[in-house]
Amino acid sequence: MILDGHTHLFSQFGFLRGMDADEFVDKLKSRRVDGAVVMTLEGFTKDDSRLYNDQLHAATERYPEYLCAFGTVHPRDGSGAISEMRRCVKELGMKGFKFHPWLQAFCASGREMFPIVQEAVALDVPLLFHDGTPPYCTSLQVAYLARCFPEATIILGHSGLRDYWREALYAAMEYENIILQFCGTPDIAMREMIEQVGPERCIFGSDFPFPGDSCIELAVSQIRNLDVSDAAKDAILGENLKRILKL
Amino acid sequence: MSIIDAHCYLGDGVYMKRNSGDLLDEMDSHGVSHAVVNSTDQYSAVYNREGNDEIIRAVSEHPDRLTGFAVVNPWYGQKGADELRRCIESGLRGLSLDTRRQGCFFTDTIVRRLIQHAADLEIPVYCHTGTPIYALPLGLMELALDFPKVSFIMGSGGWADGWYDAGTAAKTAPNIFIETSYCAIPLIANAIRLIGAERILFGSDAPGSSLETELLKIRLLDLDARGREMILGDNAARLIGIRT
Repeated sequence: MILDGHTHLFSQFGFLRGMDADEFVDKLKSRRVDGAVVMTLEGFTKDDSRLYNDQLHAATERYPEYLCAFGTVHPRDGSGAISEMRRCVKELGMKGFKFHPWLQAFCASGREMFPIVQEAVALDVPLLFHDGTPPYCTSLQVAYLARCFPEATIILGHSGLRDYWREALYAAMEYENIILQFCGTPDIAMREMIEQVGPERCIFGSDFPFPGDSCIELAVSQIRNLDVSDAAKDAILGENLKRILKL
Repeated sequence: MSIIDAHCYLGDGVYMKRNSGDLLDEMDSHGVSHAVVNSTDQYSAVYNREGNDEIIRAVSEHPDRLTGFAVVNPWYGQKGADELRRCIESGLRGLSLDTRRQGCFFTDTIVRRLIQHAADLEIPVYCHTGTPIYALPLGLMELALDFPKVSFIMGSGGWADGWYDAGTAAKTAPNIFIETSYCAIPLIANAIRLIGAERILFGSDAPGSSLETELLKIRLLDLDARGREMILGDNAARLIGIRT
């Protein structure tokens, strides 16, 4: 079973052309993906996150067995962000929230995130962050939230990318509520993380379709080629995410 | 077709570890005929000579399979320039800079002085890019514009945190080549559109990434056979002077 824990459904973002939900699901299925978490991309740079959360909801309504959504809000919207989080989970059935601090122009470790994390704990959903990029979302900036809120589940969406993976590994060793997502993560980092943190806190994501339609083959092959047990690979490719999202 | 890995590491780094036996095995199992190697980690930041000696030894043992680049920290000044000359006279073929680890901007005087030596020696210069604050594409672009006769290889095409400027830098400075390790497939495709396949070099950055992952990316790239040959080997052979 392959569950892709990191995909973006959008129509147009800069020079990137997105796609509609039908094409999106077709492409994932043709690459033997059994289900996916969808997130916005355009919504990170636009004021009205409601609109983009509604778009995600429409996709999950169309493919309820295949897609689940992580919504987004702008942390500086204050109480408006909190009420939108409640709507996303209670009315739209969303399973978590995604934040992209450098696109959304806020600092992951800033005070405006505290009520957001508290609300996620109350709603019992994880928070997934783009990480690995200074100055707003280095892995330790995101990990600071995990430190302040041990009851929250914090997913490092790229496990530090190329330059912060040792920080991401350090953070996961320090804070047990951190989940490492292998998505654009170097091979050497995956090996070290599985060895030191254990496969049960590692999950798979492709970032589809941002790194191209074929990114799924590439991302799956990175996991399949790791020198770990088949059980560990299966856990990373799907079972862990299923457990974390209570699917 | 002979495949050349235009950039990977060799040696006993604190984090990056790889001996020449393992390297040659990996090359054999992926059909890679030749690899360009240099040292990293502590050898990049501090112990240049020790790291370079290991590279010199490896390439002299496997001259038909390996080509070495010298690692010199620009902060060593004249001592570093002397080390670069020693390495080139001992058979290494280029200079490899990792300003992320060495702590200097591409435009700093200490870097420019070292590049002048590389220009005098007529060798190509590999530069790690993609890491703020010290290793971003536009810094490399300014350096390359000031040394038009030196060929610069933009390591990892600015990935992960400078990719948006990689194409701009290489388009502006015609003596910049883009090395593909870690780069997402659409970014490589975009670079090909901007500067042509003849200035793109396949590299693995192994053991950071791997031949497996990086070769799969090139296979998945929508590219004609000639372009693939250029990226996988012909460009590196021409630029670095590798006979395969």
